[in-house]
Amino acid sequence: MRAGFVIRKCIGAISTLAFVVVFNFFLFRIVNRDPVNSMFRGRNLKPEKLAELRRKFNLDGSKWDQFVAYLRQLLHGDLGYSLKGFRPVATVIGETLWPTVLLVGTSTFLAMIGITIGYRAGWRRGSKFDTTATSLSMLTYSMPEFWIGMVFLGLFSAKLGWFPVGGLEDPGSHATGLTKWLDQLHHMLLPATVLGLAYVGEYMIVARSAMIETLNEDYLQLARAKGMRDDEVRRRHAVPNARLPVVSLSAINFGFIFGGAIAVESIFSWPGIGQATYLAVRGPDLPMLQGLFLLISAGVILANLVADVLYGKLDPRVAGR
Amino acid sequence: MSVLELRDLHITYRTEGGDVPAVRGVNLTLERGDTVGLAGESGCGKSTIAAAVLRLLPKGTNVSGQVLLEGEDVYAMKPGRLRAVRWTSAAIVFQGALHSLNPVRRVGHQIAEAIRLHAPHGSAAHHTDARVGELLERVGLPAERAQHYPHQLSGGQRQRVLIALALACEPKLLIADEPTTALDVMVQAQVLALLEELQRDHGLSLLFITHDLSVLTHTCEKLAVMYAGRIVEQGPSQTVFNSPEHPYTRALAASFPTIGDPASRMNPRGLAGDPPDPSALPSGCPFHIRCDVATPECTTLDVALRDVVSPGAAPGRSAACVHVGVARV
Amino acid sequence: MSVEADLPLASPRSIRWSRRRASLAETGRRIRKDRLAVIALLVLIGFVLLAIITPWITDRADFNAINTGNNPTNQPPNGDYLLGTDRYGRSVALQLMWGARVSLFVGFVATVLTIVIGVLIGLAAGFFGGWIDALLMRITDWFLVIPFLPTAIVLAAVLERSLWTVVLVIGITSWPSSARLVRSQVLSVRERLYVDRARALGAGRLHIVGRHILPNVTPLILASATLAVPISILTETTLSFLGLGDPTSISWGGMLDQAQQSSAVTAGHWWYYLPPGIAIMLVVLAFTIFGRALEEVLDPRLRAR
Repeated sequence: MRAGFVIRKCIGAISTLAFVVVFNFFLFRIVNRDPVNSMFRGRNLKPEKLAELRRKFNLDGSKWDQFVAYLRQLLHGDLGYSLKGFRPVATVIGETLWPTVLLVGTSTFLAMIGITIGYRAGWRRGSKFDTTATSLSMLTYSMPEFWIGMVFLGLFSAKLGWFPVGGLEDPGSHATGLTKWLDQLHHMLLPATVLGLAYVGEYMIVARSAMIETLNEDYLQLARAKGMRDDEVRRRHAVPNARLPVVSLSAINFGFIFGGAIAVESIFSWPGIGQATYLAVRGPDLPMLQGLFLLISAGVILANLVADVLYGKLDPRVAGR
Repeated sequence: MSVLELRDLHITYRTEGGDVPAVRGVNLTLERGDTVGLAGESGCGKSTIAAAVLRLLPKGTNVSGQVLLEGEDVYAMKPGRLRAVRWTSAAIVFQGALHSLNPVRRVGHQIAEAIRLHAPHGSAAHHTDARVGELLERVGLPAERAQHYPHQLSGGQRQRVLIALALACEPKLLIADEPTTALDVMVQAQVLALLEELQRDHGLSLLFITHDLSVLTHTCEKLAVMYAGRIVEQGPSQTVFNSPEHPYTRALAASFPTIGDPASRMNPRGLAGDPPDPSALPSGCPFHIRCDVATPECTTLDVALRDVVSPGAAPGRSAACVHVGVARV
Repeated sequence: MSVEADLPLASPRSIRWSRRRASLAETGRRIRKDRLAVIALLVLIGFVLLAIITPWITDRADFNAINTGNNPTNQPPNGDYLLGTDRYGRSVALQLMWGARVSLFVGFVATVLTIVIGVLIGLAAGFFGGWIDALLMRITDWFLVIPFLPTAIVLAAVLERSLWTVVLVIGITSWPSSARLVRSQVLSVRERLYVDRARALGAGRLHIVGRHILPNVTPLILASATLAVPISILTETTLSFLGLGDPTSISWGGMLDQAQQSSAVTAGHWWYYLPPGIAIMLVVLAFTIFGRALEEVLDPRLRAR
């Protein structure tokens, strides 16, 4: 793979990130002319107090000055202060990072089972397996992920009592080592299953149509003519080609799972970025929301970059150019 | 024993729009070392026959009659036996080399795969690699090309790779399905010369499928011309090309300019009309609509392939036309 | 020109219309063969009818009578209240009916906005080419990469809460895929001979867009719009669930938010959160099934499958 290809993709990712930074500033300082006012709506603060808050949040001065100040802060890793307890946004986000990485990582892994199912369904298009898988995928696609969460929580936690009703671990638990780990797993199983279930269909559909695209390729006929078994033809020749569109769409799906985590984490009181976003929206805690949006976008942009580079590795035709 | 024998082969595709008979009663025999050309317009069923020999037709396609590879009926084989026979008894040089090679696999890997599939267990990797290099050199490519991906090769090089791939398991029969169609004239000539040379050196039987009659007369001893799923004329290729009996062959041969004859080049006589829709064939002789010597009986009478006995006709020729002279009983 | 009018020949205009009528009839015929798509369409028609007649058969004022003695709270389904009541004693069935209006309204209007933005940008990019195309596609790529729902959330969070905000937010975040679709269609149509011929005859750009390009991309736009409606509905649901919807109207997502706020899930008040979710599922499923059937009929590339 040529270095030029990777560099080009990196520049693309940086330009997207720059766009997000500008967009973020635009949203919170220009679309919303006076964030302080909308944050403290209905709290009846004195004008002096409001002016002080504006100074504190760097909201005085011209828009250009504000933008420069915002950039300078960003470069120092300063995302401003959350309205909740006036703690630095970066610190609050830092605390929520690990639970989300755990949850989103696990559910992405679960959802990716859909890729294997999709390949098989596409390979045997029109079979009973295909019809069943496609129907179920459309069904889960049609349900809001947080509603699946509500139904699961109502059934498996509230009614059957199999799982805790929420949180990262049992409150007041001082367990360490394996016990702590198992406790977290017990708490995570339900939200991760819900998120995974909500997106498994999306992966399945993508993989299925990618496989169908390759079904009529001549090289599959050649592989069969060579005397290969049908499943070998699928694994060695069809899948490596069907994988290409799946890789690029997986990155976009990753963004969807992140979005889904916002509502699902709030349902299960999972103390991650999603719940933090939910609380920031409810506040409204605009500095917090601004920081979270930047972080989530950066994560998704990074995932896209990884997917692009991986694509170049998997398809010799792309990176060579 | 014949290398390949087709006995009264009928092939019908099942589609949403109804049954499409693509091959309607073909008999053809290839002995060891034979070179037979199969010619005809697109849709006449010639490529269907290529796929049928290795049982590569889409699922649900109806096949009746027999395909015998070295005396063994391909359609009576168990799956394991079929896989073992594929590429060892007969291999195919597919048309469209760009699409027949897997774009994300190195070409050497794709050749080695065929060798490994049919090698006795435990053959070493470096033997396979050496064999791949040997095969590439045999078709006039440097052994290093094995490391290349298909898109890094030219059209002619890719076609050579496909030929090397077909030779990988030393098959007795090579089926070349329009191997030169997508190539420019110079490269076409090189590939043809290579195929002829390989056929001679290895004593291969060659079934050469193309729409290009002039190519066949060069490469093949015998010629079979197909129209609407049937062989309509058969015989030694030079005589069939130079003095065709069937009106269709005559029209097909006339559509190619004779080299060295400016008159024919300036005035090529093409064949009017399109080949018939296989799912709705005309009554009688399927060619009568486009035939310039058709008579009323042609609209009702469909003549089977029969030996030609006309004054001065070469031996071993047959044609399926009412107007062609036949032996008196 | 007057000679032409005297001839008994059909005018180009009438030929065009009869062709369109024929292709429409053909589309209808193909769709009718798909049993599932017909059922989906019937479900959709049912929901639309329900949304339309609701103001005539129910009284919105019933929602205001909250927490009074004759409005029992958190009642399971019974004879008086078909789907029970919420924590304020309001009928869940009544909310479900009024919610259908909001969900369908936002679903349709936001999709129209999405398609309009997408078509304009796609047409401009595909037709003008050059730096305009490069710039517009760069912006499209940015919007495709940045996560859709978080973007919609921050947008909705900084704007005033209203139905129109929800519509606007969905429009701003959803247009890129239709822009891409339209652009690629324009490029392929532009390559076709008859556009060159029209240009050679001196046709203006607007004429080419209106007469040759738009009619050709319309079927695909229609199919993708049908598939965009369920996405709009799901987005509206999520935004309302997060408290970013219109506080003055009742939507299915808002009902789920209310259920969540009142701990209906852990309290076992299933009648509160199951019906809106099932309604969303039915509408989204029906739109998706119908949209895919439509796409298969209208997109020649998919028809072979």
